[in-house]
Amino acid sequence: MEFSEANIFVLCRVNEVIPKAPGRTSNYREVKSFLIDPNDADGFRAVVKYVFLDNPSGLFAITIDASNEESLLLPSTGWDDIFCSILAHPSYVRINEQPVVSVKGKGNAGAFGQRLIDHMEGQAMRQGYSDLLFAFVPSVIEEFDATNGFVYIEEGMFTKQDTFYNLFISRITLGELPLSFFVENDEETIGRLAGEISGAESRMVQENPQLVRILNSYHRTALSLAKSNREKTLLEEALRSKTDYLDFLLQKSKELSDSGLEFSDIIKMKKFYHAEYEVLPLWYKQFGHLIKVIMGKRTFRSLYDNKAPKYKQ
Amino acid sequence: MNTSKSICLFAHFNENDEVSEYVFTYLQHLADLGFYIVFISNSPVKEVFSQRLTASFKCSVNTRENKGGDFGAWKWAMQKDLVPSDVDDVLLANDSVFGPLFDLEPIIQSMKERELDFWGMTDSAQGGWHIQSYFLLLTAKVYFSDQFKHVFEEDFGSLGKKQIINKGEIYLSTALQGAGFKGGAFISQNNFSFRGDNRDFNPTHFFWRELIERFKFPFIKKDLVTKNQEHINDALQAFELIERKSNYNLDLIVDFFPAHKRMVANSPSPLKPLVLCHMFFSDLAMGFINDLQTLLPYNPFFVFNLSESLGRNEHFTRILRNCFPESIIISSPNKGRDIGGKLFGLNMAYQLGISSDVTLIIHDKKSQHLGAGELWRDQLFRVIEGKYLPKIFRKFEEDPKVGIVCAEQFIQNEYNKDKNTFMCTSNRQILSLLDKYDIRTKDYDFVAGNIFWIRTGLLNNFFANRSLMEIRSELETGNALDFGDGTFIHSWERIMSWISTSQGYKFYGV
Repeated sequence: MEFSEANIFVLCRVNEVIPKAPGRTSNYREVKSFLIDPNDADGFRAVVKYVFLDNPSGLFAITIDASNEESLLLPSTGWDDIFCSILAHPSYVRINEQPVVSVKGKGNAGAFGQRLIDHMEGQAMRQGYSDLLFAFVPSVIEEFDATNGFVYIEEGMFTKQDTFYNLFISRITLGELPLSFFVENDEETIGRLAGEISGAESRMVQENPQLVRILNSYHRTALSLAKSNREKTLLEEALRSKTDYLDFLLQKSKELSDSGLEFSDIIKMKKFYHAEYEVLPLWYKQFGHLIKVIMGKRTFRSLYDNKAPKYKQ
Repeated sequence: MNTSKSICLFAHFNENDEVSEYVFTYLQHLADLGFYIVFISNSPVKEVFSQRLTASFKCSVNTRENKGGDFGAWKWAMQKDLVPSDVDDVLLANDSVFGPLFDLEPIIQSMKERELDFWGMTDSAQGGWHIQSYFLLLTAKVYFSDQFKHVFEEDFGSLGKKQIINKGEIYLSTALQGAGFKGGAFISQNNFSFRGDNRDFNPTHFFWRELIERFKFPFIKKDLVTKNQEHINDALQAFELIERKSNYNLDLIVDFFPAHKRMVANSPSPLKPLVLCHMFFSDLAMGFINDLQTLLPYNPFFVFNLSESLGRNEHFTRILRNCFPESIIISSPNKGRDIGGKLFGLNMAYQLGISSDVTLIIHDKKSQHLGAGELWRDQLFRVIEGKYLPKIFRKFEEDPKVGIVCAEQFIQNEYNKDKNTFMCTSNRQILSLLDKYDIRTKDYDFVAGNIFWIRTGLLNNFFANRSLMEIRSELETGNALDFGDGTFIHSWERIMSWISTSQGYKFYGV
């Protein structure tokens, strides 16, 4: 289904295998989201080495696991640089062109979670990442919760009939596309989720084909818009540097013309050419043409016939 | 299905004596349209490929010496009488295109209805009006005509590439038209939205997008996507467009690249190189990849730091990985221009524990603000030219006091000892950085352009107690220029060289 294109973030540790969900038919992107303790610089290093040296296939992300009470310290240091290196991997997942970083913790991850996010955002900004998208992943789920397109799934959440479908349809009709589901690395849960997404899509097509068409169109446009915005930013940057250069040229040109000098490499070259060659007497230049003929660089005929090819290829 | 007796003289060359998958796909399509394939290779063809050709479709495989390009191959076929006299059409084609991206049959049918004596896919005004010869369909009347034979009396084997185009491709159309034959193109230059007077360019390169998007054009030129020598800005977007518009298997293009690989088991030098490469410009990327191939015999470890637009082009990153399988590919935001990209790359190498003896620091130099930008790049790129590399490695091996090797003419010095200032706009920033990072040297020579080889040990010593990412965080964002106020970026461009001189090492220029 074009419009849904959900992301399934599977929370796992480095090197953990994600089981292949049986009967997978739905159109979704599977993202390995590596759980890392914020006090564990080695955990960050392990992710860097794994994604860059082992070259695993597929998309990945990181989830900072702040659900442990012992994690309630701000990261000492030691992984800020590594964090930015992880974001630099071409397969790091992006949603609407933004790299996604998630924090798993109590409720909305609490004050610590927010401080952690502020810290990471600050570090990333210092390295030029201005567009990170942060997601809270609650560690204890009281009820089915979805905020800004991010949904956390736990085993047993599909028991009530229509619960998933109602959530699915309510979120996507609010334009929260694509939906992103966070799920534990559990074969049954992943399979169930894949099945629920697929089932919800099919049901929507049957019950509301017109809405599906509109959502498909909306989704395509939103993707294209996000991409265009990104390209626009890059083009604006390039334009700014060209404008800066033009301003410099104009200013320099004015300064130099005021002082009676001329500016530009071409003019300098022309002056050089004139000073070194054009000032020579004609007979000297003609003698040079004869030498070229003798050396086989120029055709003899071209000395007296303007239509003849001048140079031997 | 073509019901007439049609024959295709297919000119081919492969430096590894192989036949690429994309060629098989193209030939299969032609064979399905009823063409008998006369495969003329200007290079030897390994038995396994030869057998596959003859087993796959009606085909004769011929090899000859590599002389005269495609026109030489077609002439050879004429001299050998490989085209029977009862043929209806003769297609002259070659391996310079990827495709077909779309079915050729409707095109062939529609062109037949125009009752032309000869036609091609595109025409061009470059060098004089002509039908481009990568796909040129001739009726038997033309093929067996004296005028056609006259063109092929030329000794193409003695000509250079440009002359073959002039005396073969361009002259062929002129001669046939002069003899009264009617020629045309599936997409003529007049069909393009371009309305300028200057038409001295190759339409298959400059209008590749319009050709595919608007006309469902069945080919894309191999040179455009593999080399892009004309620096067409959006050439790398061809992959995405083809994927969106056509059913063509893009792997045929992406996987074409490893054929260029020249990895050898034993490096000519005992030194282990690391290459820190920053790639920013999409239009230079493919050419740059080709330039870097010269380094492969030395078995370097590559760290590529790509601009955001290159990094998100998954086809490009796949090609890069195919060409340099053991490389690290990253993409960081545009902070600090090439200096920031290289610092990020070096930090990455440290995090991954990559060790080396010498490091090449390089980027896709464009200097678009300089009239002679390309000339600069060519000269700076001497450090990766095959003829200079043995000398460079030997210098590092034999002279322990050489810290940096670079293009000689780019060693500059802006330092005024009497005033303790640098004669550049970044003077203030340089002085503050020298103080902040406690950098002391008596030799303020530096490599303008920031492309050079350096002993890795010098980098390791220097950055042992100076944070690469801290330095990077202080650099300007975007394509900052130093015309007015000077920048930290341009300061570090100079300081990168003083990493060596501050440790008592000297330059060597090639």
